[in-house]
Amino acid sequence: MNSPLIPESPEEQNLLLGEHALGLLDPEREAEVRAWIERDDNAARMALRWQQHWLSVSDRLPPEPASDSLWKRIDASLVRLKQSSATRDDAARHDADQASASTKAPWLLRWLGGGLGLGLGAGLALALVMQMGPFSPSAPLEGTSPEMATQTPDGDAQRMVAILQTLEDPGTPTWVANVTPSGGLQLTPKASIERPTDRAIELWTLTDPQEGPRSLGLVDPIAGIELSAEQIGSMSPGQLLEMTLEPEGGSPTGKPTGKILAIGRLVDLNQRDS
Amino acid sequence: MPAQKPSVSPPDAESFDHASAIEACARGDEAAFRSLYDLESGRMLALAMRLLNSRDQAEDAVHDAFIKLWSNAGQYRRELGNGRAWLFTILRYRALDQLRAQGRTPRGDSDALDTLADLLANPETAADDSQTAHQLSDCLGELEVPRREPILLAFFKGLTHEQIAEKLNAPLGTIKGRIRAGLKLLQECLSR
Repeated sequence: MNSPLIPESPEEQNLLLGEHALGLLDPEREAEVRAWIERDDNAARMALRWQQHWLSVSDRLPPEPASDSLWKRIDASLVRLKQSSATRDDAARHDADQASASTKAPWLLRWLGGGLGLGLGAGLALALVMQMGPFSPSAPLEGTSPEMATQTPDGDAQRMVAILQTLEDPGTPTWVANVTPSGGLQLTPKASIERPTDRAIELWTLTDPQEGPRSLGLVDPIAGIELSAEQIGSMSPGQLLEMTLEPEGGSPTGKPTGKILAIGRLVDLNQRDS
Repeated sequence: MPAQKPSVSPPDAESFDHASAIEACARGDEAAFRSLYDLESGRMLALAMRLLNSRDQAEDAVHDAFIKLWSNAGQYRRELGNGRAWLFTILRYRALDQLRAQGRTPRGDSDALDTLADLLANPETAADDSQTAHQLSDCLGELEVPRREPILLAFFKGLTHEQIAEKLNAPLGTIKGRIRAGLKLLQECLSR
């Protein structure tokens, strides 16, 4: 059954899809129509027919030569997409075999491309946290209050941080992620990240290997970002955080497509204390 | 894949089997993907530049459209329609979404309509007028200017009803009515 926004009459439906082809629908109606096209073959046929008709018009525009860099960008994104897809398949197989959380580290490294030589384990992350000072295992990180701790179900405070580094210079922390007492995540920039003005920085996390990387939204490279517990979902030590360079508005595929700008994973500081 | 210089003006985009190439992409065939790029990137870029009025943004849109094509190729079903139309639908979605993200501010190009009218009037610029008697380009030529103008502004410039009304200095309701009436006439013309 169609939504009330979709007319019953075939002629009206075709007119609606004509307006959709022109991009004239308001956002709510546009979303309805795109969903309708997804589920209704007849709507998809009518929509494609309008688009095909318009090709006879847009083909009158003289072709524009693309810059040499366009294909290189597409090719690079494709390589990354295939790597991401292949490692997700690896991960699904791996997790089916071994359910223990501790066995996820090799998979995570594979997702990162494997063999990067990055010490992304808790040891190096903690060492980096300590280098950043003022910090001691019992003192908060800069910008972090001692209360910034998540209560575990048994009442113990769990303090988790992640240090995000660049792949080119893994010794230099670029962002610090703190888990807030309410279970949210606060990301603070520690070094400037270069990006073209027409590109966006998108934050990702990985919790479900079947699902693959999940977007947490776009990041302001200067102000940072604070996410609520609802936005980020549950967090656990070892969980990966990654920032990538994406087109304006974010990744077109729902998965990372651009260069990795910073990457790191959550570390439970209590485990360090004990 | 080796980085080759793409051809700009595909000689046989109309006869190329887009549906099979998209299906090949779904199977991971990179050569088919490259063929689609070589054939269509020039025309996709031309349309995206009209919509976005910026070469950089247009190249972003074409980049995103091809990545989406690769990711979603498995969802394409040839029985639902033309593969080339499917590819251009991806591009239009992306370009229009970019425009919305920018607030779809109309750009200052007062001669856009004249250029578009020229395109419709000049058969030498047509890529292919050979197949059917009633292509949309022909039908648009039959529309009176007050109905054709707002439709072309929407298609080529991505303007909203409100922006078209402002640009043409006409009441919003009038513009909506003219576009609907224009689309109805196009529908009739195309079915003749």
